[in-house]
Amino acid sequence: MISQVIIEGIINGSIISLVAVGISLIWGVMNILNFAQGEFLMIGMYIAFFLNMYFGMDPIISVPFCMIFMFIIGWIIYRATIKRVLSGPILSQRLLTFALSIVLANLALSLFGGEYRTVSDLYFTGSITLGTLSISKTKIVPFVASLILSISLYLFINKTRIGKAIQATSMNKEAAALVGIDADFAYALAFSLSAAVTGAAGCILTYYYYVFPGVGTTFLLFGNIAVALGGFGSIPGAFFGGVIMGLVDTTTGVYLNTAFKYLSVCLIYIITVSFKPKGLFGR
Amino acid sequence: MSMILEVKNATKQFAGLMANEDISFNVEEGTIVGVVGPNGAGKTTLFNSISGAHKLTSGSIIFDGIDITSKKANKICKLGVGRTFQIPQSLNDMTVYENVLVGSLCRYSDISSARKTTVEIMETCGINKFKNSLVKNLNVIQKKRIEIARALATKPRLLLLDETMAGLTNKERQDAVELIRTINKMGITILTIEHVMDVVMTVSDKVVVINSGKLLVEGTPDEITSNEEVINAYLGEAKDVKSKKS
Amino acid sequence: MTNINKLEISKKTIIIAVIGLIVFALMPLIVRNTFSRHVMIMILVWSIIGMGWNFIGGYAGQVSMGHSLFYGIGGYASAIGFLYFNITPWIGMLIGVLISIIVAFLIGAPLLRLKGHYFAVATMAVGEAGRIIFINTKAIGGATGVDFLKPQVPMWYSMQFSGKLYYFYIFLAFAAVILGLVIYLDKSKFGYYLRTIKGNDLAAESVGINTSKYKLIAYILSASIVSIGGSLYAQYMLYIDPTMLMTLNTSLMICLVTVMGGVGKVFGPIVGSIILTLTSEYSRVFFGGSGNGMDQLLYGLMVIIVVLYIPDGILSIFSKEKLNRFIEKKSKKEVPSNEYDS
Repeated sequence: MISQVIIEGIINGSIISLVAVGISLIWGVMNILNFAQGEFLMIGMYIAFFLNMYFGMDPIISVPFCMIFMFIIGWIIYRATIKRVLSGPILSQRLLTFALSIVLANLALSLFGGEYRTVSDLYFTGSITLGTLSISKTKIVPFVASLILSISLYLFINKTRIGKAIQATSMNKEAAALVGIDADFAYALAFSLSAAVTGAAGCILTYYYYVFPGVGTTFLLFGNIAVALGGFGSIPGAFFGGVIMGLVDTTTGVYLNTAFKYLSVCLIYIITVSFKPKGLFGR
Repeated sequence: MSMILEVKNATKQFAGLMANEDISFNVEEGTIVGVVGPNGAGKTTLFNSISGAHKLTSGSIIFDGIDITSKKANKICKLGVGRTFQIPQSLNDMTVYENVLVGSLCRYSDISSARKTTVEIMETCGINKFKNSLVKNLNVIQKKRIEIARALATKPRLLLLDETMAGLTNKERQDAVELIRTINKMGITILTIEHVMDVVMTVSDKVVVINSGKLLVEGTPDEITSNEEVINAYLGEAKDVKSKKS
Repeated sequence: MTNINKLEISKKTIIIAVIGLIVFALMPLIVRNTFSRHVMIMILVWSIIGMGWNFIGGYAGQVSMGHSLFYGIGGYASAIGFLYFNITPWIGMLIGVLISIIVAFLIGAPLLRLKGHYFAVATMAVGEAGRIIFINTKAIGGATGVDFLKPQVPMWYSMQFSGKLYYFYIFLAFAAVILGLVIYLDKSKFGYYLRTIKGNDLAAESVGINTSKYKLIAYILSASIVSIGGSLYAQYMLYIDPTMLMTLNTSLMICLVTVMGGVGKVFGPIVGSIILTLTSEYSRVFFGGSGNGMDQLLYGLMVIIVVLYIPDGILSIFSKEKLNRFIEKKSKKEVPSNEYDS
């Protein structure tokens, strides 16, 4: 049924959206393409998995813990590495994050092994029926959680003083410094927030996806395409881009060969930016 | 004397802002024409339209009898229009020599043929002494000079100069005026945007005044400095200028 | 005036290139163990790939993160050509180059209009799309790849050699030719134009450079050379699949090779290739045995260190500018003007 497919698409898309929103934050504020974003997702998933395994915690409940932990990790990574390449060539920045992703993924591989894991004892199970549509709760919950997180982030960036300080820094570092905003702090904050949000996405994702060290790669690519699709520096754009990705992914998966899902996603992106070089909502 | 440049009803609109509105004037070959006007009047926008950095919303630009209105910037350069930028667009990681060389490669197909012209032009512009320095280590004044040399290397028939006198001391200004005159004597028509009034009035054969995107008036330096509307537009700046034609 | 002087190629570059090639050519006679020879062959492969990418990513400054597509096209063209059609890989390689040129032309034209991150992400999408197409095309092996060992065919026809030395010297010849091309183009009008485009797009247009045309030419050139690298690699491994040749990881390593050494520099990709290949091959031997990812971990750490502490690439340590400034700092004197060879 078409509506079923669309609902599925939006829900799948909402996770990509969270990753995309995280990427967009870093891209928008520091103009860095973060190749390790997928690994933030992966780490979040492992956190949820272990909390679930040892404490029986539902992944949704583990989101706050995960976010705090990921925030700290993000802060450390920013201070140790990202900060130093900000003034250098852009290519170096990207390759740094790429190397970071290799390190993190293989660290996970060494520590946890390559087996695929799943969480158990989910809090929300079963499905709800809306007319002719039947949607499993394991999909609704991630969607709602993703929506809440994205909106919260958006409100934080646009409505709070700190959020606006971050925006100001991204628009004009020197001018922001002149009014007393410490660019370095703003960057560290943005980076860590992004890690936290993406880590949370990982937690939520365990509801219906396997946990393994290489899980970040697909979401990285999709997340990046979603952001570029939605446009540089726009959180709503990134969210919307993610949803589009999810829709395309699901609709083509149903009506065409599974493999062509990815292909269509890539093609949609290429076609879109050919006409709108700065993405749908970019500035 | 023929008209090397004809601007006809040039209009440029940016999403609601009318940067240039119905501007028309001609430039006679071999002359020096000054373009003046208050900040934000639309002078650089006009230059951008002429050089092909962007396209006019409506109107046309004829260079040497050829309609260049919708031609791309690199084609327009090949036809014979060179330009400098208000903020120097230097090739910072290359040497001075290489910056100028890139300009002369426009007319030559290989490095060795281009070398002679490059060296000559560097001499003319007085930048030979630091030809092997990386441009990023030089100051803005030197960068502007290099940019003039680079534009000159493309063997233009019309040279668009955008605020070359800004920030210069008196002595430096004299040198710059000398350079402009030398270039003009080589047969190159010059169209120059300037804020430094006594320079413009000294060096120009004709002056075009732009205000709020429109052409206010055009005429000889004498006519311009005594024009009421111009004086009002500048709020008194023009009153103190005496024009000297050499 | 000799031809070389006409082009302003510095004598230093020629001397380094010739000496380097001679030393490298003699290495296998000194170092005889199989693994080391394998490493040297891989260094050559990555040097070729790096030199190819350097044209678009280094000189022209358009950082493509999807070159694994051309690597794959090259590899598959020679492998499939040989396996199913008995075409010698020497020709198969050329077919691969031809296909790469066509593909690069078709996707380059729209993509090169994009800037910065948008371009990078678009090339990533293209690379990924390519991988997926290959994985799902059963006719060329799909995910299981292509196994094209045919020992019964004469080795010079099949380009399948029993000894590593054959591969080594053939690859060295290719690398030498490509290096020659790089040296020539580095100081040619083409090279200068690419550098200008990288330096300042606006300035480039204002001096008559058709930036779209030159970017596309650089892209097509880089695609061709990377394709050759792919063909050579395939012939060495005698087995290929999309996961080996066409992932995002591969694309990023292609960039890495040049960046580590120094972008837009003649010897950058070679230096980068040496460092990266040595690191990845030896750490795989010492740590990677149990499949626990330690070798990759170390590789990643090394890259991080180089990027953090030598951001302009390893060659920049030897640049005269750095040495001059170093001397300046030590003697606290003003160096009046910077004298450089052209």
